[in-house]
Amino acid sequence: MKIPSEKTRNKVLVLKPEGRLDSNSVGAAETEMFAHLETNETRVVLDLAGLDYISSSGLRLVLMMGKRLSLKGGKLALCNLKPNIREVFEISGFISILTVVGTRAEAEAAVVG
Amino acid sequence: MSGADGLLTLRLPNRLAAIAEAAEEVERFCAANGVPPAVIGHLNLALDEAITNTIEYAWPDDGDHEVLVSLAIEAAEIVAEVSDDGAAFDPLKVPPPDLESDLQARPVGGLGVHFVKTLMDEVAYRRAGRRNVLTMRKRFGAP
Repeated sequence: MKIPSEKTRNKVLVLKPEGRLDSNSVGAAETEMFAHLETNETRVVLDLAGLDYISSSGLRLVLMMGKRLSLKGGKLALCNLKPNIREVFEISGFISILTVVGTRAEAEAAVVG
Repeated sequence: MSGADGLLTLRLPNRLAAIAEAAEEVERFCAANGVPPAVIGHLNLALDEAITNTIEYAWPDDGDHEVLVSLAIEAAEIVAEVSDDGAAFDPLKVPPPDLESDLQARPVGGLGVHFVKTLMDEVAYRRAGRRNVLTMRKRFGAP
């Protein structure tokens, strides 16, 4: 799967997974996302505007990222969830343990603050 | 392939890449039979979780196997069946996931079956001869 990334002036790494994050794509996504995290990133935003579908396999990866970042004192925030994606986060209970906000600006503020 | 009689049967190879392709066929079939988009989304997620479990755990060897998926739409209900000839396994006996603990303590995994149970109205497992059969039912409003 494609995961474009960018770095903001506030040193926030923004990852933008696109398409489907499921059991088939999660292996490649994991390799790509964790390669970014190896470089001492501590402020990470997952902008999910381009994500059409997520299954429990994809959620597992998001949870692992959140755990890894919080272990090294970093922060993760998610934004721009489509309604079907948000619903999956709600059913999983992840809404209450991850920082999920509406807009990209809110997400960047959440990891910088 | 899709039939006009409200029945769809898919024979999937035990490869995870086959799931997204099947989801497209399920979507076409359900839409043609008047199933609302939100219900199709829930059905496809439940099917994905069930088929993923089967492909990852049913066969300990690396050989080629087949997952059989059938859909029937009767009145305002979809009945979906996922079956395989792998090792006997009742996914409904998987303990419920931990939905309470904090980020660091939250176990990674165990959510797939929870999704199936949450998104579908009824889920039943049976061992039929040498096959695992998971039946999922979802009602939807009249189109």
